[in-house]
Amino acid sequence: MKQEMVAMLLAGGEGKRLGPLTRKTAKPAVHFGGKYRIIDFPLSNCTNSGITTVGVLTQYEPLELNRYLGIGSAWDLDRRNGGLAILPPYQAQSGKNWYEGTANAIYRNLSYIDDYDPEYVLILSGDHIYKMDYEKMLDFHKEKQADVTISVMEVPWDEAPRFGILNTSDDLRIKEFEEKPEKPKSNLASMGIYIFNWKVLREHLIQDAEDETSSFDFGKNIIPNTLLDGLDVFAYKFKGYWKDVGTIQSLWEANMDLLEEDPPFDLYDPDFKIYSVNPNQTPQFIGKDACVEQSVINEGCRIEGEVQHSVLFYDVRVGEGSLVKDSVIMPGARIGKDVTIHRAIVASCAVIEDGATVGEPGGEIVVIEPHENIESGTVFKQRA
Amino acid sequence: MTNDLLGVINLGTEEGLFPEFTGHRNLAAVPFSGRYRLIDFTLTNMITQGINQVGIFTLDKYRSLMDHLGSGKEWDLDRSQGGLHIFPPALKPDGEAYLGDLANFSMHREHFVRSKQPYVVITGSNVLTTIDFQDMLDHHKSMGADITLGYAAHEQKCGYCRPIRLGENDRVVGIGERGYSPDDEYTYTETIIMSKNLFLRLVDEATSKGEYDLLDGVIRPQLHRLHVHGYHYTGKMQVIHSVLSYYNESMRLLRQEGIIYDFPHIYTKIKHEPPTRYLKGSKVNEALVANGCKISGEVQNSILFRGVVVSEHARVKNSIILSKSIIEEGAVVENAILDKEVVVKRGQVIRGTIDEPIVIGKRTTV
Repeated sequence: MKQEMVAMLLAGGEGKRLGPLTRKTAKPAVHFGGKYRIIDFPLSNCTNSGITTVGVLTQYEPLELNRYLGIGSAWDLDRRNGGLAILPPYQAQSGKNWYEGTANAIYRNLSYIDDYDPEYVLILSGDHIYKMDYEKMLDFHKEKQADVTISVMEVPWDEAPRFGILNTSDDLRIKEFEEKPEKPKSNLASMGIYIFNWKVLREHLIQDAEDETSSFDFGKNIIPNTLLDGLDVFAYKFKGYWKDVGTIQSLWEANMDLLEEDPPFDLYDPDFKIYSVNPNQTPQFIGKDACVEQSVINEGCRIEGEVQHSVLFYDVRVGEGSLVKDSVIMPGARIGKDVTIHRAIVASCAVIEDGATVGEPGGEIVVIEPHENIESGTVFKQRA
Repeated sequence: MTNDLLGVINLGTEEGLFPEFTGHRNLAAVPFSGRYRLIDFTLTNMITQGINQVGIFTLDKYRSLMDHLGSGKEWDLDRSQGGLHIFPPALKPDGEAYLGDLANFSMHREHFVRSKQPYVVITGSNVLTTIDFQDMLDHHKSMGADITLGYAAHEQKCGYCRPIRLGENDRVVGIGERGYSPDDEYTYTETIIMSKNLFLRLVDEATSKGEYDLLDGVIRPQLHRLHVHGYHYTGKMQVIHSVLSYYNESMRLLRQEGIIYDFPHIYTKIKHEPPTRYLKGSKVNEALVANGCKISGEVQNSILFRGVVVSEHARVKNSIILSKSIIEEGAVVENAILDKEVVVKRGQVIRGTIDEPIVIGKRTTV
């Protein structure tokens, strides 16, 4: 059945820089914000933008992600027509290969997109925390009669060399794309969100697949080629919170952003809800001698100790006499009695036994791995 | 694996209780313990034991209940085989409602005829238990009983509960009127198991005689004729039937005595609320707090439902605050139950007593 726009979400990334958090799970499945996983943001954006057909391309460690996505019910994507489809690499007559790059992943699923005969295809990634109405971007794309529209953010000039930078004319027509330029001519950074006219993308994917020198990548090949071909490529300026959470430091920072008095990122807008799979836990219980301030705490937690300036996911226990400060505690973690935790990310189901110390004020961010056990009385300040 | 029990949740006997809270909703739809409605507990208990077909028989005011249950998806009851069936009240041709649950069962007789399960388990929604229906059914079969009724030791002075008197070998010899008397040892848990065939026969016989109540019109008068057996339930039980019982049973949750921790999961309608935010200066102790709240003030020995706001210097003590209520700056709420979307204006004081908590109606501004 025809759909005006189909979204393709690239969720096969390994997220190497997240270290132990992505050792056994794909980056889009990493926990964020007390309740969510990274992929909840692009998926909820789709739901809130009226996009009902979403292909999720998976490759690296997909078990946890697949189980989480299910049939897409949490995001209202369990649909008779369209809905959520998980698209892993598969064996074909032409061979059996892994997805070789972002463009290759889409190329290998041409027939999935063709089935919906769309006018437009939206390319997304599962790497960022942001809220965005893609329908507004599509309106802009139509208004400009563009072939390709790339969503961009103004970034501080000194940070521009870390991004893919787009040089535009006054009407936001893109003239040039530079990947991580030493001397940027603009501070408009690509957010890795593209809308293509499907006919244009289809042609370019086929051409790219035949080019043996290509890296089969949107940023490196497809976008530069559309510019070379003189197509109408426009930049859509996005204003708002957008954060890459690809490193331990940035993941921790983005969580801490939620704790400000007026958070730069608002999870509480009833007209733009972020959806996630519900763990069906009882409400949180705050005990008699507990003290909780400047924190975000999810259901199923039981707090008997002190929690300051921290994010706690569901089903976390904090025992009597313990202090959790400036930290992120992921689902199912158990923190015993008289434990002190500073500036840490405690991954899911980790156990911190009574009297242990993790991290230190002002220190590096310490990560406790999923299911890791920190024994009673241990002082754990940095991973050797 | 198929399950031999057809679940029946009979709301017909719960009408008229707790009017302060049921003016606009079924008792079954009364919010309880921060994020649930009463019916969630019975439904959860049924589905976690493998019962996969549940009929809910309503008599009145079922809008909020229907809204809550939807297709039954949250309880895994959106099934091709079995699933959730909601039965609106049976009406007479002149538009008047039938008098009791029997008329309702009779009217929807076809539901029972069509279902494949050989046994029915009938419960209500306001007596919360973790009763093991499968074990009760095994007991029913091994005793060769016609009807098995659940009973529990009389723990609380429950003015709503019906005493059960047992003869030899746990045979039920008497079912008393609602009310508490210190002489009563056991109380009825509002749970019945019998074969579907017997159930249909009893319903047909009784309706032809003009009876309208299953327990009082059918089972009680025939205790001498039918083999009615007792099944001893030894787990926790919470009964909600009045403002005071609602208040006291809620407060039990804060002392960790409630039933909510006896289920591995309790299923309910998902609202997709973000986690709760505690701001600088918040002081929260002995509190059960649902998601989506924003707390800047003080909360003590209280239950906050989803999306409640407690502003700076506001104080909530020994209270139950239902969803989306707002306690403004410096306001005080003590020994009170606030229904949904109540606003307590800046500096206002609402104070009841432990024995007589004050109830503020839905969407009231104080």
